[in-house]
Amino acid sequence: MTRSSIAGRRVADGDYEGPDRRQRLRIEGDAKQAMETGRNRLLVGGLLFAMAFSVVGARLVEVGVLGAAPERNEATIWDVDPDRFARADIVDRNGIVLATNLPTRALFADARIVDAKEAPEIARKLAGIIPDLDVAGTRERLASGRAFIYLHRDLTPAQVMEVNRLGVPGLNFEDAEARVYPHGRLVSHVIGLTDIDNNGLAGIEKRFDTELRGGNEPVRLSLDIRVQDMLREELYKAMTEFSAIGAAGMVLDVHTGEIVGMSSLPDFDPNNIETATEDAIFNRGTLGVYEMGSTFKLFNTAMALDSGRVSLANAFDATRPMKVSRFLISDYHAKNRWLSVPEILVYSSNVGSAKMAQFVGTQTQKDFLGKLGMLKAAALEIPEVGAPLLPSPWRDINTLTISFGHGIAVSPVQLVNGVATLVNGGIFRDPTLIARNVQASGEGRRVISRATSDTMRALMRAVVMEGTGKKALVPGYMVGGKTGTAEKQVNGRYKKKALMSSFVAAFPLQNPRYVVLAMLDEPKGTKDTFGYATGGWVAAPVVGAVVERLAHLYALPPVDETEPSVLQAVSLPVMEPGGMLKLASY
Amino acid sequence: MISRTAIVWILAGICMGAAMIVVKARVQGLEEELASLQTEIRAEERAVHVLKAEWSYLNQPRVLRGLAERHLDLTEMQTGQIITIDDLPYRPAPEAGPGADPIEEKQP
Repeated sequence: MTRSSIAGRRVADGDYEGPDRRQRLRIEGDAKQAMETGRNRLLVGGLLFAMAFSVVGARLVEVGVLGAAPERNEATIWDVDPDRFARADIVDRNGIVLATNLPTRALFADARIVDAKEAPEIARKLAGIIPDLDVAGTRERLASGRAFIYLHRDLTPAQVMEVNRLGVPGLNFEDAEARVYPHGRLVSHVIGLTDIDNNGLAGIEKRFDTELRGGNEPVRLSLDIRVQDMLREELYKAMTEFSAIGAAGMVLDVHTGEIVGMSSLPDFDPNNIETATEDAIFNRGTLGVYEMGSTFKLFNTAMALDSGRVSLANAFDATRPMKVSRFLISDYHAKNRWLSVPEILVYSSNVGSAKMAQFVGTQTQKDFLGKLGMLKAAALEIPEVGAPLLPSPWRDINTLTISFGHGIAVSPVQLVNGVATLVNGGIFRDPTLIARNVQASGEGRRVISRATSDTMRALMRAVVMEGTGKKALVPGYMVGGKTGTAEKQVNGRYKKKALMSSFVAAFPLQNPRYVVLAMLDEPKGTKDTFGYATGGWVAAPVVGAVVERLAHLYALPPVDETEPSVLQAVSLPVMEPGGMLKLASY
Repeated sequence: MISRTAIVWILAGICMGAAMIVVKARVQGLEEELASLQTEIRAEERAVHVLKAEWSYLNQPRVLRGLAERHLDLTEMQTGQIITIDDLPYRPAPEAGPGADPIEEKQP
């Protein structure tokens, strides 16, 4: 076949002169013009393609050879949708889960489909599968004919299977989430709880409701679940032993203001709130305000010493009870003589304290308590914080009674934080339930001088060694504190038999780390305590036990309490004997 | 002449097209794998979340103490058991002669 025959019919075939001979095609006329147009079109098309290819080629060279394009060598991290649960976790300072959302199934019904006549039967069958189902309510709602009714919000997988097996049309499931508190009542008052729709109702759950809903980041508390447990256990033991109606306890880090443990008894199980009584939901540690009694003498003494007008060598007349208008101030452990400042604290003299406050003055007392955060509600991250009860107007008689902790009611957390301020070198920081470190806890505010703080530590040590707090002694850990026993006011009258007995301590005193408080509400004396139900008998042993277990938990190195350098750190200055100052033993 | 070049181009085009189909199929496969991996990760994370809650529940200090009392010979720690590194005595200098080192003696 020759080319000419391929070329088509329009080609004028010349003479065939053999297979080797190429023949020139000649195209004439219309055909020639069409050919020209075709060529031009091809050329244009070709040029376009060539341009496109050269662009691609140039890009290839740029990327492959020159490498000018931005490097993307790292593997792309594929984010898996982070919004998995409707509410973030709450964890303790070590990341132990205290509150979390777990997937569950909710049972709902379309009552339009359910046969109203069968409603009682279905309700009965469901009750057989779900024990806590409200049968009467379910029967009624199944017969209501409404399009969407929740029957139960939290079914186990086994229950889901059983309900499915009933094969009742109109019963359906939906994915739901249930708030679960793995540690139950151990942290109930701090964590609070949520309602069935995951809205915070109390405690951290309420205060951080927005944050918990918004993010996936857990809220980390300052609590240590282990400290929480030992605190609760010791409080519970004492509460049972002394038949108290309630108890509260706290452990606070003196340098950061973090509350490491906080317990209020009786408590409740947030997983099963229906069974909780109002008394159990009440947080005695923060919401309750109480007349603290003698523990306030610590503040009184610190105030007097820091004012610069009273020194340790001064003595006050406690020879006889003090009579002011219709009030009689007397001493529980009366010595009936002049008492020096340390003696007033060690023997817990009301008269001496009142005299001291009288000497310093009402305004100084008011200012000082204000600086210690006693005059307004504690700035704590839960809604259940009680405002203190203050005298109004603040008369001179109030000054006298406040000196030994009557006529003013503060919450235990205020008391603990105040004591922390006295022993940590004199710096006030707001207490907190959220984990923070020393840097984040801020500068704080100086309330008393370092020297006064040192003296207060020595005085607190003296109370435990010589005075009313001997039962809080823990060998090796230099505990120091103050007892408090206040009669409870009921309807404006003091009840003799109803006591609020407490003990507040700091340890180790040569370099304080923690303040521990134990408080018992209406304890009754036992044979072992010779019928006494005072702070020194019922609350001090609790503090001692908590201190020992806490020290062991954190493996705090014990010190030899007879070593001169240790004694030096908590000793009172030696005073010249003379007048009533018989202080050689300190 | 033109037609020969055209054949080359057409072949090249077919090759490119085929390569593209292959690559596309592979990308699709990888994307499916990615999606299933993501689903798996999500499921695993949910499972981990539930397990964490269970772990926390099982680690209630009271429960642990009960278990330890029942199954272990451990007793409560005493203050004397906490010592600092300075309290540790130095290892006594080995006496002359082989076998004097008490630690080496235990070796078979």
